[in-house]
Amino acid sequence: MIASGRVNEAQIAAGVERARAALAPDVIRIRYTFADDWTGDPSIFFRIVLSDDASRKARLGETAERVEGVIRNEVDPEEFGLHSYFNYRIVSELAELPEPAWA
Amino acid sequence: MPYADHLLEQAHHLAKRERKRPRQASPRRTVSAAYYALFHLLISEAARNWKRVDQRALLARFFEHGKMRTASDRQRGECQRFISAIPPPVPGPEFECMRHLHRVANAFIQAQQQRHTADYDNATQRTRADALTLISKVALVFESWRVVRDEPAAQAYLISPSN
Repeated sequence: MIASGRVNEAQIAAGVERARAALAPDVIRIRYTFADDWTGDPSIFFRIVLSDDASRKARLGETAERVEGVIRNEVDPEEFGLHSYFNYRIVSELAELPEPAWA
Repeated sequence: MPYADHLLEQAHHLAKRERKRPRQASPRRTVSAAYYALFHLLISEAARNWKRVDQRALLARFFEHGKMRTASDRQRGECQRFISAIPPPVPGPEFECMRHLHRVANAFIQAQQQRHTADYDNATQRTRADALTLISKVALVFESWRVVRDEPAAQAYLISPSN
């Protein structure tokens, strides 16, 4: 279970919005959920929607590293005792197979 | 490290299946193969230090997912503290080594969590984007590891799960 007392949700939401603005137009939106990871540690799971252009860049891994670096800097999950994890979708992929959690 | 390379190659192969609407088995197995490529890269590199070649495979069996995760978490923190120190570190070989090791340790933690979800959580959908992003990150780790593999800090990381 998440130790919610340590988490300032408004601060996290503001950080996510700053990260999204900094990462536009490659990143379309960022959603997140608090949950434990597989070891039982409190964590924040980010869901990042990339533009089709960003997903076509030669080295997707480098794009992901840049996105994750900016989010970590702006949100600083470790300040709240949270591990951070990142999952990705591409806009056209969601158009084909919509998922409410990513909307 | 041919086995690790082959697992990464298999992950690429699986990611190309059913390009439009992949069945869940493909991205899930892609994620799993990509994680195991990274796992076997690190344990084969650690076992390579054992002088008796015929015992290396046996030695590799002592490495555990949980302990490697703990060691990676520790390594990532150490690298992060070095990289973001004030005053900033002087650019050079040590800085580059820490940057590459940070990539390795961070990718290991991310990949392990993704593999756990892919293998055990059928309620969570996996897609090609998830799979391709992870493969690309693991491929970068293979490149980074080749740069730093003989550095003392990299060798210390390899053996740290035994602590």
